[in-house]
Amino acid sequence: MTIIYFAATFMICALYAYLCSLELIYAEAHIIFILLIMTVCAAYFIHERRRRVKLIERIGDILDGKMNETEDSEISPIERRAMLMQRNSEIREAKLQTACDRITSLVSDIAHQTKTPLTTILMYTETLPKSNGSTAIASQTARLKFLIEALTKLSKCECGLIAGSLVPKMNSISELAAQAVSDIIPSAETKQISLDIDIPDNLYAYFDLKWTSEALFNLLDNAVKYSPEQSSIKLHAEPLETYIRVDIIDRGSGIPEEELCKIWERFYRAKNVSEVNGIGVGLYLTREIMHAQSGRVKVESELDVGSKFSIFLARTK
Amino acid sequence: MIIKTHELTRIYGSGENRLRALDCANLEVERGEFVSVVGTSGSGKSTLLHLLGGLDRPTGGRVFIDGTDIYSLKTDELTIFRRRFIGFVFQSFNLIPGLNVWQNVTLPIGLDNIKADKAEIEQLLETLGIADKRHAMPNQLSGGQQQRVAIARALATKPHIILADEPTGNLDSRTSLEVMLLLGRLNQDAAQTIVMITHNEELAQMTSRRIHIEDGKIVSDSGGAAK
Repeated sequence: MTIIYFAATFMICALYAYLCSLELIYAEAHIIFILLIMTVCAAYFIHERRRRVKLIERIGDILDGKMNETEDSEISPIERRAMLMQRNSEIREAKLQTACDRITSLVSDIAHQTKTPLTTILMYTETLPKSNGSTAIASQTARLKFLIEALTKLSKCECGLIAGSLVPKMNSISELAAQAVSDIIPSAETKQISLDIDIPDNLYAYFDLKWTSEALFNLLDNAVKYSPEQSSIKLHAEPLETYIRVDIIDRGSGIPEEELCKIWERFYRAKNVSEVNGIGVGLYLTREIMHAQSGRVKVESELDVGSKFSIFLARTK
Repeated sequence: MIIKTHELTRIYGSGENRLRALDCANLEVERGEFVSVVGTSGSGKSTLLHLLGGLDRPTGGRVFIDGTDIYSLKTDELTIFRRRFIGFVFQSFNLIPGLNVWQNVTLPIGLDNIKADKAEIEQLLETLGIADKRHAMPNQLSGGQQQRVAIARALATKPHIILADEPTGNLDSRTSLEVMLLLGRLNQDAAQTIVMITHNEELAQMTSRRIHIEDGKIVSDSGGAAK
């Protein structure tokens, strides 16, 4: 294209020079020739500017990942390098995921392999004459089993396997509550704790039913664990504009203010509950499950009065 | 480090009326942190925020945003830097009354002559729950909705940091909670760095890091790296 412009300008100048030398040009003709040359130059600049704008747009598209085969020889090298870069980063990600998968599979193997020895220990413990020692061995072994199961779950969590297996869709909150509550009824009955369920029928939110009921169950489990016998636990849901809020209110021992942020950490147990059985992963898992679905968790608590744990479920995708 | 201040100081007035609003503040914020700044009235928290956002000139010290010493820039350069890399959310929403929601949100992008990516802005409005209000005027929206429009506007340029000055100050407690949840979600999902002033201790608990300012000095800094 540039060649054409140069050729055009050159030919006009040549013609001009020729006609001048033949003295065939009168006054106005000079001006016409000059205007002609200026027009050609202006056309050239406009054309170049349009080309530059298109080029920049094209580069922008490539950076955004919208690549298609271009014949434009100026862009192809850049396009190729961008494609290579993208492919390299995809390969790196795949490698990372593979490494993660191998770790989770190793942890699963550990859990599986330790099952048999643990079951054997428990079996033999039952044959021992009852004593403080044998009871202690039995309870610690049971605790070890539970710990290994929790660790397996945690390793899946860390590797994003939970996030990967979440299938959020529009679900009913009352369905969620029903599932979580049905699992907690046995332990609640053991401590004669009553469940007060205040969940409207018409509330819906966007979440994975299976995982979220596990998250909710963890909160109910904590509420039952740390509530005194014959107390009550209230389950309440209300809609906000962008979230549905589900609260679990208990009359337990409460959580000291300085620990309110720490309770969500892995293996953290509040200082005033060391006599109760627990590992300290329930809240961590609950929060991870909620965050993986763009949900939130919150806690309010007052010592010796009780605690209110809330989960917030997104109302739309 | 997305924000770093070095001996940041702001003194108002002179002689007997000298007021050390901010006194040699040294602060570092990493990308992806959600920081709340608490303190009593007049403690210097607004001053700190304004200095972080390039809205004021410090008496001493420096502020680095993503490595750039913002007060070494010329006024025009600073204005452009601020428009592109810093998003503001104010207590009083500050929406333009004559423009509808979509126009308000895309205003800063338009000022930079960037074509708004329609799909991205749509998704932003969707996340903040105001997609169906995109043609509404500010005076047709509730306080909570207006603040969410302000947040969308702050995010439209995909800034390095969001600076929020009492974003829930004019909202009731339910709406405040909702706005906090949304900010938390943005911080979580998009690793958006947010520095927020609040006098509400309960809301401050919802952030990963709490900085306490008193008499122009940082007196405590709890939380820290992502939990």
